[in-house]
Amino acid sequence: MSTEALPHVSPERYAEIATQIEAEVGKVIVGQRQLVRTVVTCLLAEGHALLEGVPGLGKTMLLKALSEAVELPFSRVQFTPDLMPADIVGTQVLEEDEHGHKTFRFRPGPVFASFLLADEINRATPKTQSALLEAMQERAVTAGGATRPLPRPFLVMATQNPLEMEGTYPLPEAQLDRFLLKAWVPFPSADDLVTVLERTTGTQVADVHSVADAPTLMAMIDLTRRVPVAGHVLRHAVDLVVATHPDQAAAPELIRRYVRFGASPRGAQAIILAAKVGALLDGRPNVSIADVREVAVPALRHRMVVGYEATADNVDAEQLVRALLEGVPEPTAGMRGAS
Amino acid sequence: MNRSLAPLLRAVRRRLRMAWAVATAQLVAPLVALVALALVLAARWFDLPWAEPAALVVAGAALVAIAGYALLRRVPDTVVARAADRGMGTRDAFATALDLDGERGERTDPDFTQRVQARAAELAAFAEPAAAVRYRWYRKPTALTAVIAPAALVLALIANPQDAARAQREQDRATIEATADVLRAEAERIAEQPGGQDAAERLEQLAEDLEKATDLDAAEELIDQAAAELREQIDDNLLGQKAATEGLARSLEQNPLPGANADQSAAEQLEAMAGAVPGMSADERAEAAERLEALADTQEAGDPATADALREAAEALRNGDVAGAQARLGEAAQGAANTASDVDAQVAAADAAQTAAEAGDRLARPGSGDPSAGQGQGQGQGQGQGEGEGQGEGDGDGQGQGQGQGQGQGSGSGSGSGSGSGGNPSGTVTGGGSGTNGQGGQGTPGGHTDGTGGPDTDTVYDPVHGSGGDTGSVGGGNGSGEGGTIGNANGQTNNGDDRVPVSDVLADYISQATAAMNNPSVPPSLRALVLAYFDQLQGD
Repeated sequence: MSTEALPHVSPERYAEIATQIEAEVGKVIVGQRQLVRTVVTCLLAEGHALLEGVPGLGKTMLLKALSEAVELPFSRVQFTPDLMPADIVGTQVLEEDEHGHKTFRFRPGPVFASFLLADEINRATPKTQSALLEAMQERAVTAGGATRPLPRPFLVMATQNPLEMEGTYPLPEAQLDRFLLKAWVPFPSADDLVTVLERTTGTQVADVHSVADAPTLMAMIDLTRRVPVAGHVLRHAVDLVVATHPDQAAAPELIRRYVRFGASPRGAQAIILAAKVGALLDGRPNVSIADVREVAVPALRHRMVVGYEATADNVDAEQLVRALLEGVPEPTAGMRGAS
Repeated sequence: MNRSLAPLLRAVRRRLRMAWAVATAQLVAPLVALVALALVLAARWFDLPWAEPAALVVAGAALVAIAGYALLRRVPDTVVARAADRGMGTRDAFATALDLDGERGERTDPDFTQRVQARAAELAAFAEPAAAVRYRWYRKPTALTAVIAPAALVLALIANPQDAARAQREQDRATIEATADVLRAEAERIAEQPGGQDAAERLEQLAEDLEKATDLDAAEELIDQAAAELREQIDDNLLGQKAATEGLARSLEQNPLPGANADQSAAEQLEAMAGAVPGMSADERAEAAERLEALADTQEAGDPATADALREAAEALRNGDVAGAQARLGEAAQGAANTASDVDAQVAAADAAQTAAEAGDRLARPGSGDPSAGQGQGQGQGQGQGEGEGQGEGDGDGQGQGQGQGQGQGSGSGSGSGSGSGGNPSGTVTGGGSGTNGQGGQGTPGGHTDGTGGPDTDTVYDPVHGSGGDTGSVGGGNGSGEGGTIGNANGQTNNGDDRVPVSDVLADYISQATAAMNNPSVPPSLRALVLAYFDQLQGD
């Protein structure tokens, strides 16, 4: 989809559509506002989301509602140890026409949808997991010697179950790095759970309306990238990423103690892109330091390789990122006496 | 730059400078207060008169430095914009707008650039600089300052154990300066004396040196050194030289030499006589030779070279050697002139030495005020006692002894450095006893006090030349004589008038003093003192 063909979307309209999307999704997903915001952010930044939470919290419902709200195809793949790469990207099948000619025809896999839910992605073998690498990064699939582009926008939402680790294959760092944000799906509050019960055990089903289409979404994605970022804001994002490396002088003590490898440059890119979305959703035409810091946790928590000491001390990545934010405070004006 | 941002940035920049100054002052204040406290404490243990002012200077300098740097330091627009953003919570609107003014703006979507600038302008329109930059208070440094600074202030204001030393030093300084002023005035006076230029310059130099003296000891040392240098210029035989020179002058003034007149100096008269010699008759030459011989005798002690020349001139006159007489008279004239000049210089040096010595006394016993305005009170008391004892002998002669004692007291008090010169008491009693009657001694006691700041130079105490005083009675002693009687008699004590005009006795005094000072046992310093005394008498 070329940029020239995109409809014009102003920043105000951008925020309005995004709010409508969140509202439509909110019709079926009770609470979980932060989770919805994370997924929408990934969508508008054209990134991918990694969700971690126990089963039954509405992750599939979320993506399905999102696809309905933006009128985009949705597919779901339940990752299992016997899942093969072809089961995701598609395969060549031999077909015979009316004249008896046999030809190979590519049958697209579920990845050829705008929204792909990779459920329990860590249950598939690394080989299968890596089949998603090209799709996630290049937004194209190579099969049978041909590279086929994926539809735009393309959003992979993968889930992981943190409890059942038996027989799982933890995602390699290279693949984790391709997820723009990682969100933790919390258990709903009692009130939210009551609402969930009311909505799901009755006869009425929430009707999700479409509020945007693919061209509009692409225009919004394009607008996201146009948001200007001041130099000192960029610098702060870089400072955060640099400080995730334990060998850097700016690294806080917890990072030095528990992190083996820090975030890659993709981490800084993810922070800025997500911050741009945040600025637009907030109705601002510029990215602020606060925007950067707000997305630092979901953007960096899955990009740091923690050591076994962290596991032994029950320190998770989120704690480390929060320690990072404390260790790298918001930059001051640079003059004594100023706030 | 976005023009709508400029006023805000200017106001925020001013506010930032002030905030920086306030914050820095708070952080620096404990250190400055500590330094001030240390200086004040040091000033209480040691005599450091500069310490308290230095503490003030340190505090003032710190404030000035902070204020100056706050005014002069460069505060970039980016810093101002970020400070405004942080202070006002505008989420980097100003900083981004400023950033987009530059190169980054060219790479940014124009629509977004415009939106960013518009938003910044809108926020700036309602911005309050005071809200953008709030003054920060650092509790710990401020609390420290609040404890230390008052302590330093109180210690600086309450009585200091070193105050007495400081007052003494200031008094010493004032005394030294007053002494220097006196020395300058004396130097001007001495400079007007014949041959007094060198001595006056030395006194001027001494006054300048005194201005730089750090304390009384140093000042006294300088004065002693100057006085010693001046005394070294005085010949041991100055009194003799002076007596000879002045005697010659007085003699020639009263009885001018042939061919000369009384208004001329001795050297001029000798020169005039040399010119008149060829026209003299034999009798006149003989008379002149005799006169020259007599003059030579008066010059023998003080100016032997001139005396020799005068004798040789007299001899030549007797021998009819006109040319020789003229030549010798010329030598005598030259010698007399040289001696007179030398004496003048020495007299001035002695005067200066005496002035220096008095200045030294002044430093040692400083008074206050103007010495010329001093007032003194003096008391004089004379007491004579006479005791006569006669012892009879066969021939009826007796011997008597008499004793007299005079006492005088004087005291002076004056505001300032004026001091009453001590009384000049003396009393002599001469007593004699006759064989038959012991005769009391005769005493001429006198007491004298100059109560003014300076000595009385019009009259001088002289018990010998005094007369006309009251007569007192002194109990006579017992006289005894062989076959005679032992009787008591009242002696007499004459309280003579103790003051006579200086001019009447000065010549004799000088003569006697010259003879006395020729005694090698008299220390040179004492000779100078005596000389100065007579110089002063003579000068007045």
